[in-house]
Amino acid sequence: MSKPKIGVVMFDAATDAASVIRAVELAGGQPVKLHPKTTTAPDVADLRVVILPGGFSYGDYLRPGALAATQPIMSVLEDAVKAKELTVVGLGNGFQVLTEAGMLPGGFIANTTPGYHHAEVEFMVENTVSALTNAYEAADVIRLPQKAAFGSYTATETELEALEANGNVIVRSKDSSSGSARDIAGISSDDGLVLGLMANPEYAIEEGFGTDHPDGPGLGVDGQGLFISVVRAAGATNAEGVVGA
Amino acid sequence: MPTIVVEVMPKPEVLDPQGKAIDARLPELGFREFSSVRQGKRFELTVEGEATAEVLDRAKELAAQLLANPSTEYIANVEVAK
Repeated sequence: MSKPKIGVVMFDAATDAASVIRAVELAGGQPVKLHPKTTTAPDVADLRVVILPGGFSYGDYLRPGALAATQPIMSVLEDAVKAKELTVVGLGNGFQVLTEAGMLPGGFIANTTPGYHHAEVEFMVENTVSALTNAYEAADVIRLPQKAAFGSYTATETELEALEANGNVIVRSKDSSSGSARDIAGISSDDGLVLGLMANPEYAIEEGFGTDHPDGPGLGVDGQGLFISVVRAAGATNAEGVVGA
Repeated sequence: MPTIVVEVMPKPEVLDPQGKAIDARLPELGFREFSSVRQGKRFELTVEGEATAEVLDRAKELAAQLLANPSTEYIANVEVAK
Protein backbone atom coordinates (compact mmCIF):
# COMPACT_ATOMS: atom_id res chain seq x y z
CA MET A 1 0.00 0.00 0.00
CA SER A 2 1.32 3.38 -0.89
CA LYS A 3 1.92 5.85 1.88
CA PRO A 4 -0.87 8.38 2.46
CA LYS A 5 0.10 11.79 1.12
CA ILE A 6 -0.03 14.74 3.49
CA GLY A 7 0.29 18.29 2.22
CA VAL A 8 2.50 20.69 4.18
CA VAL A 9 2.19 24.38 3.30
CA MET A 10 5.58 26.07 3.17
CA PHE A 11 4.71 29.55 4.43
CA ASP A 12 7.63 32.01 4.35
CA ALA A 13 9.66 31.95 7.56
CA ALA A 14 7.55 29.20 9.18
CA THR A 15 10.35 27.65 11.19
CA ASP A 16 8.62 24.38 12.07
CA ALA A 17 7.84 23.19 8.54
CA ALA A 18 10.94 21.00 8.20
CA SER A 19 10.22 19.30 11.54
CA VAL A 20 6.59 18.72 10.58
CA ILE A 21 7.72 17.11 7.31
CA ARG A 22 10.01 14.78 9.27
CA ALA A 23 7.23 13.95 11.73
CA VAL A 24 4.89 13.03 8.86
CA GLU A 25 7.55 10.74 7.38
CA LEU A 26 8.21 9.03 10.71
CA ALA A 27 4.47 8.47 11.16
CA GLY A 28 4.32 6.64 7.84
CA GLY A 29 3.01 9.42 5.63
CA GLN A 30 4.41 10.94 2.48
CA PRO A 31 4.78 14.71 2.88
CA VAL A 32 4.00 16.88 -0.14
CA LYS A 33 5.27 20.46 0.01
CA LEU A 34 2.72 23.05 -1.08
CA HIS A 35 3.62 26.58 -2.13
CA PRO A 36 1.53 29.31 -0.45
CA LYS A 37 0.97 31.03 -3.81
CA THR A 38 -0.73 27.96 -5.25
CA THR A 39 -4.11 28.95 -6.68
CA THR A 40 -5.00 25.83 -8.59
CA ALA A 41 -6.96 23.07 -6.93
CA PRO A 42 -5.08 20.24 -8.72
CA ASP A 43 -2.19 20.79 -6.30
CA VAL A 44 -4.41 19.66 -3.44
CA ALA A 45 -6.85 17.51 -5.42
CA ASP A 46 -5.18 14.20 -4.54
CA LEU A 47 -4.64 15.12 -0.91
CA ARG A 48 -6.97 14.27 1.97
CA VAL A 49 -5.11 16.20 4.63
CA VAL A 50 -3.05 19.38 4.56
CA ILE A 51 -1.02 20.63 7.54
CA LEU A 52 -0.27 24.28 8.19
CA PRO A 53 2.94 24.09 10.23
CA GLY A 54 3.85 26.52 12.98
CA GLY A 55 6.74 28.84 13.58
CA PHE A 56 6.18 32.56 13.12
CA SER A 57 5.20 32.68 9.45
CA TYR A 58 5.92 36.10 7.93
CA GLY A 59 7.69 37.05 11.16
CA ASP A 60 4.40 37.22 13.10
CA TYR A 61 4.06 40.69 11.52
CA LEU A 62 0.70 42.48 11.81
CA ARG A 63 -0.72 39.60 13.91
CA PRO A 64 0.51 36.00 14.12
CA GLY A 65 -0.94 34.13 11.16
CA ALA A 66 -2.58 37.21 9.63
CA LEU A 67 -0.34 37.47 6.59
CA ALA A 68 -0.26 33.72 5.97
CA ALA A 69 -4.06 33.74 6.07
CA THR A 70 -4.12 36.06 3.04
CA GLN A 71 -1.98 33.76 0.87
CA PRO A 72 -3.70 32.41 -2.26
CA ILE A 73 -3.52 28.77 -1.12
CA MET A 74 -5.86 29.51 1.79
CA SER A 75 -8.87 29.99 -0.46
CA VAL A 76 -7.99 26.79 -2.33
CA LEU A 77 -7.95 24.93 0.99
CA GLU A 78 -11.15 26.60 2.17
CA ASP A 79 -12.97 25.61 -1.05
CA ALA A 80 -11.79 22.00 -0.70
CA VAL A 81 -12.99 21.91 2.92
CA LYS A 82 -16.36 23.33 1.88
CA ALA A 83 -16.60 20.58 -0.73
CA LYS A 84 -15.90 18.07 2.11
CA GLU A 85 -12.84 16.87 0.22
CA LEU A 86 -10.11 17.96 2.59
CA THR A 87 -9.10 18.10 6.23
CA VAL A 88 -6.86 21.02 7.24
CA VAL A 89 -4.77 20.85 10.40
CA GLY A 90 -3.01 23.88 11.91
CA LEU A 91 -0.22 23.37 14.46
CA GLY A 92 1.01 26.29 16.59
CA ASN A 93 1.14 29.29 14.28
CA GLY A 94 -0.84 27.17 11.80
CA PHE A 95 -3.77 27.28 14.27
CA GLN A 96 -3.43 31.08 14.35
CA VAL A 97 -3.55 31.09 10.53
CA LEU A 98 -6.83 29.13 10.61
CA THR A 99 -8.46 31.60 13.03
CA GLU A 100 -7.17 34.55 11.00
CA ALA A 101 -8.62 32.97 7.85
CA GLY A 102 -11.96 32.58 9.63
CA MET A 103 -11.85 28.78 9.23
CA LEU A 104 -11.92 28.30 13.02
CA PRO A 105 -13.63 30.54 15.60
CA GLY A 106 -11.81 32.81 18.02
CA GLY A 107 -8.36 34.30 17.90
CA PHE A 108 -5.08 34.66 19.77
CA ILE A 109 -3.75 37.42 21.98
CA ALA A 110 -0.37 38.04 23.64
CA ASN A 111 0.51 35.62 26.44
CA THR A 112 -1.02 36.75 29.72
CA THR A 113 2.40 36.60 31.36
CA PRO A 114 4.74 38.72 29.24
CA GLY A 115 7.02 37.35 26.58
CA TYR A 116 7.71 34.43 24.35
CA HIS A 117 7.10 31.15 26.15
CA HIS A 118 8.77 27.89 25.25
CA ALA A 119 7.88 25.16 27.68
CA GLU A 120 6.73 21.58 27.89
CA VAL A 121 3.06 21.46 28.75
CA GLU A 122 0.76 18.60 29.71
CA PHE A 123 -2.44 18.33 27.73
CA MET A 124 -5.56 16.24 28.12
CA VAL A 125 -6.98 14.64 24.97
CA GLU A 126 -10.75 15.13 25.06
CA ASN A 127 -11.77 13.95 21.60
CA THR A 128 -10.50 10.68 20.18
CA VAL A 129 -12.24 10.67 16.81
CA SER A 130 -10.78 13.78 15.18
CA ALA A 131 -8.28 13.56 12.33
CA LEU A 132 -5.69 14.86 14.78
CA THR A 133 -6.41 12.78 17.87
CA ASN A 134 -7.83 9.40 16.76
CA ALA A 135 -4.71 7.51 17.89
CA TYR A 136 -5.31 8.43 21.54
CA GLU A 137 -7.61 7.10 24.26
CA ALA A 138 -10.04 9.43 26.03
CA ALA A 139 -8.41 11.40 28.86
CA ASP A 140 -4.90 10.53 27.69
CA VAL A 141 -2.42 13.02 29.10
CA ILE A 142 0.27 14.00 26.63
CA ARG A 143 3.33 16.17 27.11
CA LEU A 144 4.27 18.46 24.24
CA PRO A 145 6.43 21.50 23.67
CA GLN A 146 4.52 24.73 23.30
CA LYS A 147 6.20 27.86 22.00
CA ALA A 148 4.40 31.08 21.34
CA ALA A 149 4.37 34.78 22.09
CA PHE A 150 0.69 35.09 21.20
CA GLY A 151 -0.50 31.79 22.60
CA SER A 152 -3.62 32.79 24.52
CA TYR A 153 -6.74 31.52 22.79
CA THR A 154 -9.72 33.82 23.09
CA ALA A 155 -13.28 33.70 21.77
CA THR A 156 -16.69 35.08 22.67
CA GLU A 157 -18.70 33.29 25.37
CA THR A 158 -21.14 32.20 22.65
CA GLU A 159 -18.32 30.69 20.60
CA LEU A 160 -16.81 28.99 23.66
CA GLU A 161 -20.18 27.54 24.68
CA ALA A 162 -20.70 26.22 21.13
CA LEU A 163 -17.23 24.61 21.10
CA GLU A 164 -17.95 22.86 24.41
CA ALA A 165 -21.51 21.86 23.56
CA ASN A 166 -20.49 20.31 20.23
CA GLY A 167 -17.50 18.44 21.65
CA ASN A 168 -15.20 20.57 19.53
CA VAL A 169 -12.59 21.11 22.23
CA ILE A 170 -10.27 18.28 21.28
CA VAL A 171 -7.27 19.03 23.52
CA ARG A 172 -7.07 21.07 26.72
CA SER A 173 -4.04 22.26 28.73
CA LYS A 174 -3.69 20.69 32.16
CA ASP A 175 -2.47 24.02 33.55
CA SER A 176 -3.45 27.57 32.70
CA SER A 177 0.01 28.94 31.89
CA SER A 178 -1.01 29.94 28.36
CA GLY A 179 -3.88 32.06 29.64
CA SER A 180 -6.16 30.51 27.01
CA ALA A 181 -9.90 30.68 27.58
CA ARG A 182 -10.99 27.53 29.41
CA ASP A 183 -7.43 26.22 28.89
CA ILE A 184 -8.39 25.33 25.33
CA ALA A 185 -5.40 24.11 23.33
CA GLY A 186 -7.01 22.32 20.39
CA ILE A 187 -10.34 22.72 18.60
CA SER A 188 -12.27 21.28 15.71
CA SER A 189 -14.83 22.72 13.32
CA ASP A 190 -18.35 21.25 13.54
CA ASP A 191 -17.68 19.01 10.53
CA GLY A 192 -14.30 17.89 11.90
CA LEU A 193 -12.53 19.04 8.76
CA VAL A 194 -10.64 21.98 10.24
CA LEU A 195 -8.48 21.36 13.31
CA GLY A 196 -6.12 23.56 15.28
CA LEU A 197 -3.67 22.80 18.08
CA MET A 198 -1.59 25.39 19.94
CA ALA A 199 1.38 23.14 20.55
CA ASN A 200 4.38 21.78 18.70
CA PRO A 201 4.07 17.97 18.64
CA GLU A 202 6.71 17.80 15.88
CA TYR A 203 9.32 18.21 18.63
CA ALA A 204 8.11 15.17 20.59
CA ILE A 205 8.40 12.36 18.04
CA GLU A 206 11.87 10.85 18.40
CA GLU A 207 13.41 9.28 21.49
CA GLY A 208 16.38 11.30 22.61
CA PHE A 209 15.06 14.45 20.95
CA GLY A 210 11.65 14.63 22.61
CA THR A 211 10.26 15.97 25.87
CA ASP A 212 11.29 15.16 29.43
CA HIS A 213 10.15 11.71 30.49
CA PRO A 214 10.36 9.70 33.73
CA ASP A 215 12.76 7.30 31.96
CA GLY A 216 15.10 10.11 30.95
CA PRO A 217 15.45 13.50 29.31
CA GLY A 218 14.31 13.71 25.71
CA LEU A 219 12.55 10.34 25.76
CA GLY A 220 9.00 11.75 25.59
CA VAL A 221 7.42 11.08 22.21
CA ASP A 222 3.78 11.87 22.94
CA GLY A 223 3.55 13.90 19.74
CA GLN A 224 3.77 10.78 17.60
CA GLY A 225 0.09 10.02 18.08
CA LEU A 226 -0.98 13.28 16.51
CA PHE A 227 0.92 12.52 13.31
CA ILE A 228 -0.19 8.89 13.31
CA SER A 229 -3.76 10.21 13.61
CA VAL A 230 -3.24 12.53 10.65
CA VAL A 231 -1.71 9.77 8.52
CA ARG A 232 -4.62 7.46 9.41
CA ALA A 233 -7.07 10.18 8.42
CA ALA A 234 -5.25 10.66 5.13
CA GLY A 235 -5.40 6.92 4.43
CA ALA A 236 -9.06 6.54 5.40
CA THR A 237 -11.24 5.19 2.69
CA ASN A 238 -14.64 6.54 3.70
CA ALA A 239 -16.26 8.97 1.29
CA GLU A 240 -15.33 12.10 3.19
CA GLY A 241 -11.72 11.09 3.63
CA VAL A 242 -11.74 11.62 7.36
CA VAL A 243 -11.79 9.33 10.32
CA GLY A 244 -14.88 9.56 12.46
CA ALA A 245 -15.62 13.19 11.67
CA MET B 1 0.80 62.87 -0.78
CA PRO B 2 -2.17 62.49 1.58
CA THR B 3 -2.11 59.92 4.34
CA ILE B 4 -4.98 57.93 5.77
CA VAL B 5 -4.61 56.85 9.36
CA VAL B 6 -6.18 53.60 10.59
CA GLU B 7 -6.30 52.90 14.32
CA VAL B 8 -7.01 49.43 15.64
CA MET B 9 -7.62 48.57 19.29
CA PRO B 10 -8.15 45.36 21.24
CA LYS B 11 -11.88 44.83 21.85
CA PRO B 12 -12.93 46.09 25.30
CA GLU B 13 -13.96 42.59 26.41
CA VAL B 14 -10.67 41.03 25.25
CA LEU B 15 -7.77 40.99 27.69
CA ASP B 16 -4.87 43.24 26.62
CA PRO B 17 -1.77 41.73 28.27
CA GLN B 18 0.53 44.31 26.67
CA GLY B 19 -1.52 47.21 27.99
CA LYS B 20 -1.63 45.59 31.41
CA ALA B 21 2.16 45.19 31.48
CA ILE B 22 2.56 48.92 30.73
CA ASP B 23 -0.13 49.79 33.27
CA ALA B 24 1.72 47.89 35.98
CA ARG B 25 4.71 50.26 35.67
CA LEU B 26 2.74 53.50 36.07
CA PRO B 27 2.48 53.86 39.89
CA GLU B 28 6.22 53.45 40.33
CA LEU B 29 6.87 56.10 37.69
CA GLY B 30 4.57 58.49 39.50
CA PHE B 31 1.66 58.38 37.02
CA ARG B 32 -1.30 57.93 39.34
CA GLU B 33 -3.74 59.85 37.15
CA PHE B 34 -4.39 56.87 34.88
CA SER B 35 -6.33 53.81 35.95
CA SER B 36 -5.58 51.64 32.92
CA VAL B 37 -3.70 51.42 29.61
CA ARG B 38 -4.77 49.64 26.46
CA GLN B 39 -2.35 49.26 23.58
CA GLY B 40 -3.46 49.44 19.97
CA LYS B 41 -1.98 49.90 16.54
CA ARG B 42 -1.78 52.83 14.16
CA PHE B 43 -1.35 52.32 10.41
CA GLU B 44 -0.48 55.10 7.97
CA LEU B 45 -1.56 54.54 4.39
CA THR B 46 0.03 56.80 1.80
CA VAL B 47 -2.54 57.54 -0.89
CA GLU B 48 -1.81 57.47 -4.61
CA GLY B 49 -3.40 60.74 -5.74
CA GLU B 50 -6.23 62.38 -3.83
CA ALA B 51 -7.80 61.09 -0.63
CA THR B 52 -11.35 61.03 -1.97
CA ALA B 53 -14.36 59.57 -0.18
CA GLU B 54 -13.95 56.45 -2.34
CA VAL B 55 -10.34 56.02 -1.25
CA LEU B 56 -11.38 56.45 2.38
CA ASP B 57 -13.96 53.71 1.85
CA ARG B 58 -11.23 51.48 0.40
CA ALA B 59 -9.13 52.15 3.50
CA LYS B 60 -12.07 51.07 5.66
CA GLU B 61 -12.38 47.93 3.53
CA LEU B 62 -8.67 47.18 4.00
CA ALA B 63 -8.98 47.79 7.75
CA ALA B 64 -11.87 45.34 8.02
CA GLN B 65 -10.29 42.71 5.77
CA LEU B 66 -6.70 42.73 7.01
CA LEU B 67 -5.60 45.39 9.49
CA ALA B 68 -8.04 44.38 12.25
CA ASN B 69 -9.08 40.90 13.32
CA PRO B 70 -12.76 41.12 14.34
CA SER B 71 -12.31 38.26 16.82
CA THR B 72 -9.94 40.25 19.00
CA GLU B 73 -9.88 43.84 17.71
CA TYR B 74 -12.04 46.69 16.48
CA ILE B 75 -11.37 49.57 14.12
CA ALA B 76 -11.24 52.65 16.35
CA ASN B 77 -10.67 55.22 13.63
CA VAL B 78 -10.12 55.66 9.90
CA GLU B 79 -9.46 59.22 8.74
CA VAL B 80 -7.43 61.37 6.40
CA ALA B 81 -4.48 62.74 8.37
CA LYS B 82 -4.61 66.50 8.88
